[in-house]
Amino acid sequence: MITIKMRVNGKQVCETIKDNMTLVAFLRDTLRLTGTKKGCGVGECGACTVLVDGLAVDSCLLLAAQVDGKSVTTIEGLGSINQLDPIQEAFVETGGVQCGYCTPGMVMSAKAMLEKNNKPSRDEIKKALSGNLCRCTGYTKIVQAVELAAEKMVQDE
Amino acid sequence: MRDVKFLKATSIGEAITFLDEYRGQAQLIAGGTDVLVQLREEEKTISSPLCLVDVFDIMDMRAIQEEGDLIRIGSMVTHTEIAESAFLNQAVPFLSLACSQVGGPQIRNRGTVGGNIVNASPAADSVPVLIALDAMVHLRSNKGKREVPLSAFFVGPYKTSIDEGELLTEITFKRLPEGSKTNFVKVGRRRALSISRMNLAVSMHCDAQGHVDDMRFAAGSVMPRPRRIKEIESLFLGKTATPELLQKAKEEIGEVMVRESGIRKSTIYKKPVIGDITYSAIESLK
Amino acid sequence: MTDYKYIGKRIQRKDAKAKVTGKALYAEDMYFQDMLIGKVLRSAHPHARIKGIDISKAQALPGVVCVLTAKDVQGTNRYGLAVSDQEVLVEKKARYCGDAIASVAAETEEIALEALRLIDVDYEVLPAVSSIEQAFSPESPLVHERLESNVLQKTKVRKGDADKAFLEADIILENTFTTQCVEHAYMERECSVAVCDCDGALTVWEPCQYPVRSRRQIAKALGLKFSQVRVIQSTTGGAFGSKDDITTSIHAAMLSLNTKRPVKYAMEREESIATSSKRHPFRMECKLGATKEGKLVALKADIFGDTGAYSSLGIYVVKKAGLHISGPYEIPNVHVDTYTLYTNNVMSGAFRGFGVPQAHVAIEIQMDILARKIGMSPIDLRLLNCLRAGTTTTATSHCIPHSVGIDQTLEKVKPYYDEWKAEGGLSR
Ligand SMILES: Cc1cc2nc3c(=O)[nH]c(=O)nc-3n(C[C@H](O)[C@H](O)[C@H](O)COP(=O)(O)OP(=O)(O)OC[C@H]3O[C@@H](n4cnc5c(N)ncnc54)[C@H](O)[C@@H]3O)c2cc1C
Ligand code: FES
Ligand code: FES
Repeated sequence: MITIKMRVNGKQVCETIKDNMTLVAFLRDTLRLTGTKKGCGVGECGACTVLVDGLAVDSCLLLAAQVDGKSVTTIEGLGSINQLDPIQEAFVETGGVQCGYCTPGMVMSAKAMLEKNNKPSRDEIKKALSGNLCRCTGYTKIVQAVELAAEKMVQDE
Repeated sequence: MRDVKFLKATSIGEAITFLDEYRGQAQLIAGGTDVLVQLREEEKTISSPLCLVDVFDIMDMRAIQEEGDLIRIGSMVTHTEIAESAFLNQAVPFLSLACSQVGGPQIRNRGTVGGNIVNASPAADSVPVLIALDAMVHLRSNKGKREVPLSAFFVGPYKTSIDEGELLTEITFKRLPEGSKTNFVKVGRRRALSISRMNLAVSMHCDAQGHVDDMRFAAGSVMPRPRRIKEIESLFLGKTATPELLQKAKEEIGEVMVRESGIRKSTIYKKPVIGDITYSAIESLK
Repeated sequence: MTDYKYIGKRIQRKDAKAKVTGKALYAEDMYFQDMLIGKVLRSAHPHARIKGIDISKAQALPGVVCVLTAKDVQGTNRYGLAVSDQEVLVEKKARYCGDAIASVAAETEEIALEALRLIDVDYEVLPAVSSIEQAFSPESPLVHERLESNVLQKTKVRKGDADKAFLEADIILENTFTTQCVEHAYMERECSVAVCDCDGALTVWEPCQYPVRSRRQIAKALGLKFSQVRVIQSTTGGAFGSKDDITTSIHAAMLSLNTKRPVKYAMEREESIATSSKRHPFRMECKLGATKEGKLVALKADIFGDTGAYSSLGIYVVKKAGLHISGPYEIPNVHVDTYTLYTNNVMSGAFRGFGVPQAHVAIEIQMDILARKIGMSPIDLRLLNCLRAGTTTTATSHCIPHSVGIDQTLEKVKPYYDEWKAEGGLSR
């Protein structure tokens, strides 16, 4: 067992867990932040994407212990149903959500990019989302959603 | 998932101490993008203890530095950092290009160049470039330091000559001649997030008359051990890269591959494709 | 254009906000007090007699609450969408590598997985039927002994007199097409949570396509009354046809019944790919006759669909391909036989298009070959033969009074095609 401390969505957490617990399991089973999804468990699908110190990472490919002392942002750390983040709003408005299973990961990947680059080209968006799979939408509306989100974020500033 | 004991090292010294203390059970973990996949696989079979020593956050292994004409990259520098480094993009553009094509953003944000090397996959994307650069790997253990040419470090697919108790701290190489042109080409099963079926790195420098005076060529996944492919390089040295020479290189690379790897099921596909990417990669340097 | 309420409007999904915020509840997101984790041991062989199963070591592992095998099933132990040919836990023999042999409920996932490793199965490995060709071979074993052959269904489609029409055709094309097995790869892995209350009534949450049908199958197989089982469709992370089949629910339900505790059973991706139903691999032997002007006169086809170890909806999927192998074209004389075959491959079932995409591979490639042979534009060839208002369909000979869009679609595409062709087409 190992005791780890980290900031999750701005809140300090401290838990004692098994050393081999993955970050995705820690977020879901221990913290019950179930917005982060596990599609494959091996880094192929991006459904489990979260931000660690602002960078997009696959939470299935990290042990929770590796993130000790760092800051994690999950989908729950963005907007809420009554107050959506501009990225979330854009996904809803554009129709970039179907079954929704890839959505939290897509939103987090978009978030990581838009924080650094608020005027992304279509190619930059595609590259930022290239670690995320979606089986429903065919991606077109997801890319449009991120374009819309970028516009919204520039307007907000 | 295999049971592990997790230890975080904050300095090179501490990492070496851990490796020593848990000799026989210790494994280093950097970004973990290869290690986690392996641990998950092992779930079904192994129950012997394993001690993971996390070296990702050792600041002394996270720098990109320049020392005269020597470039030093810490083993824990991530693919994202190499892809985005303005200095490396200028000095060794093909290294940045190769790292920018590893996995997807999430993999590049965690995957390190050191992990890429020690994992020793024949498809590792940073490796052909570093081989072309005649890179040296720097190793540390409680016995001291040693320096090995990268080409001698690999002993076979997924095998290196690293000793138990040894830590890869940095990778060094000399700057390319001023004005060199470089390229890296990768062929995978799909465009994003795919392991290379074949990849190659090339760098070329021409003198004032347009004759090639420095040529480096290396390819991944086509030979058992990566090396500079002198058979291709020598075709161009002292000459200009004419379409006839390119055609020759295209044929030669296929021959080299078959000579070293034998005829396999994939040869029917790989031979023409490695030929084509060799042709277009070198052609693009003009 | 008429101003419709919904058509042509952007409608916001009711659940979109819940999904973008991560609040939508998929089955795996549900947790109950005292919940156990379920896991299932899958057959190690595509075809093997089960001579014995030793669960004693697994049972003895601390943290294991129950280990179940076929003899623990109280009901018929049979389920299936079209034919009840699947067993919840196989009794005598496994028919593909994903067949369920035993199930475990334990306090943690790790313990459940360890318990699976401790189950000893004594297999007598049997020769396997691994292709459509082998399914027909008299030397091949039977996948299901209740039948006399590995042919699960055969359907004939007849219209006019194809044999006679071929005699009058100027051009006859004969080609065989094969298509492969395809995985749906929905992003959400299969998962069910079952909760059994004190009087033995079950509530099961599962991502599915047809909760009532799941409910019927679960009740019968496990020996419960229909009224004792409630199935609730949880937010479903993609299905594309494959979650029409029972996946995890029946095991979660049985484990919950036996432990009287809530049980969650989620597959890992590997297990999902190994066990879930797929798109049927097809073999289509086709003969198409036409006049030299390009008018289609006759079609003959034998269609073989590999449904794997169990039918799922394979009876209907393959049958439907037979109805669609003439494509959206009017062909006066048609002679089609379809066969659904049992093999020891992974089960195939419903997948977007339901057998039609495979049939279209055959007919559309034939059309392109024909166009090239007679030197006609593939678009014109299609326009010449396509169904229009007033024509009759092949399979059912229904006259279609209106609502055929293909002619208008082709007319619209034609200028773009012609332009592309003028610029060099494929050789560009
Ligand atoms: C979905 C996915 C896609 C991928 N795509 C690509 C791709 O396109 N191209 C590619 O090349 N690779 C790819 N990889 C593989 C992997 O991401 C890279 O090899 C990466 O560079 C490994 O680095 P890491 O830091 O994650 O290594 P780790 O997984 O942490 O370690 C890898 C190995 O190196 C050893 N090690 C780590 N650090 C040290 C050290 N300092 N000294 C000695 N030994 C050490 C470890 O013990 C282990 O054996 C992919 C992986 C995944 C999961
Ligand atoms: S679950 Fe982490 S990448 Fe698929
Ligand atoms: S919306 Fe279903 S996977 Fe993307």
